Amino acid sequence: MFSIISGDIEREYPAEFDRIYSFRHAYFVEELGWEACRRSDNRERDQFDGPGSIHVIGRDGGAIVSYARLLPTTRPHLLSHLYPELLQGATAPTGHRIYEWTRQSVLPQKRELSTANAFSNAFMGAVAHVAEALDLEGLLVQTHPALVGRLIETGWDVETLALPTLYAGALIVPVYARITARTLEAADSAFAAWPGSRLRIQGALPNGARAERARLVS
Amino acid sequence: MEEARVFGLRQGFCVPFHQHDGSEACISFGGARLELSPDERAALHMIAIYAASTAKAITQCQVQVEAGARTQGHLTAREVECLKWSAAGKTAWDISVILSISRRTVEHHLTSACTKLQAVGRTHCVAEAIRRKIIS
Repeated sequence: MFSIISGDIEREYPAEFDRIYSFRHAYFVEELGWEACRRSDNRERDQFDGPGSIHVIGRDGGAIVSYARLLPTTRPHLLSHLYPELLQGATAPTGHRIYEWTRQSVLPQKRELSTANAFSNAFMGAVAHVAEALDLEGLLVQTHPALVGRLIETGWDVETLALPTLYAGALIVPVYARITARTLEAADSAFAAWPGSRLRIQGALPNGARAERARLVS
Repeated sequence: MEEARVFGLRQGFCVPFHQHDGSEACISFGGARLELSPDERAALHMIAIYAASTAKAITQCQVQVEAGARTQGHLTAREVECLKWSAAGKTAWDISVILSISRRTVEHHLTSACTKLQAVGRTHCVAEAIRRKIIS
């Protein structure tokens, strides 16, 4: 079961946002060791979190098991304000139909299932469905080069914006992934391969336009 | 390796892949001399990623075509009948007389069979039907 939460979650969904930020702290700080994100309250929240963020959540029972955050590129986002040096002088596309895909996370126990990544594929499919529901053109992604292949193979039209470089000890490459008909086909197959995959929308979607469309997958 | 040397590929750069599905692959670049700057290495790495994904897509495409080739392509009885007569050297007009249907209908059945068997023309279509054992 996947859901999108958008809007001012800190006001409107107090219980939810607390769960989101603790999940992120547990995953990115405790698990991956992103010390720069460590907080004394064990809630991982940065300057980019706000009413414009879109949270994509995967749950098993009630617990969060996977998460991704989409940030509007019409405001400060990671590539523009945290590590613009990744672009090495190149420019990245921005606009109201382009979001930035950040904080992608799938719990390790969900990755090691014998069902061979079916869950994480379905979660990536959920992100594609969300992008479609928001009527986006594409997503900015900063990731390890190894994951670029996976984006291409799941139907994204991936444009490399600059060469991979080291950031905080990890190899990272900025790309722009455009959504195509193949992205949605791959997302549908990934949903079909993980029984119970559905996308639920909580709160009003920004852009508004495709809320109708999003309901089709819910 | 010896063979590569014969063709002047003395030095190489290899990008290994441990893929999501557990499979492994590798893309190699070779040349007479290889002096790569860190940027050039990074660029070759990205090129290899695109190449490996494209190669994978081509392989999957072939698997699908082969899977399709094993099936009968869902031809109708009429389409099969027209193909049998084509294979026996009959023209569309001959077949229309034999089956007492219009020539245009015969053409339609044959065109439809071509599409279903992904054949580019009538000869290819007959060959494909024989290969798939739809007709003998």
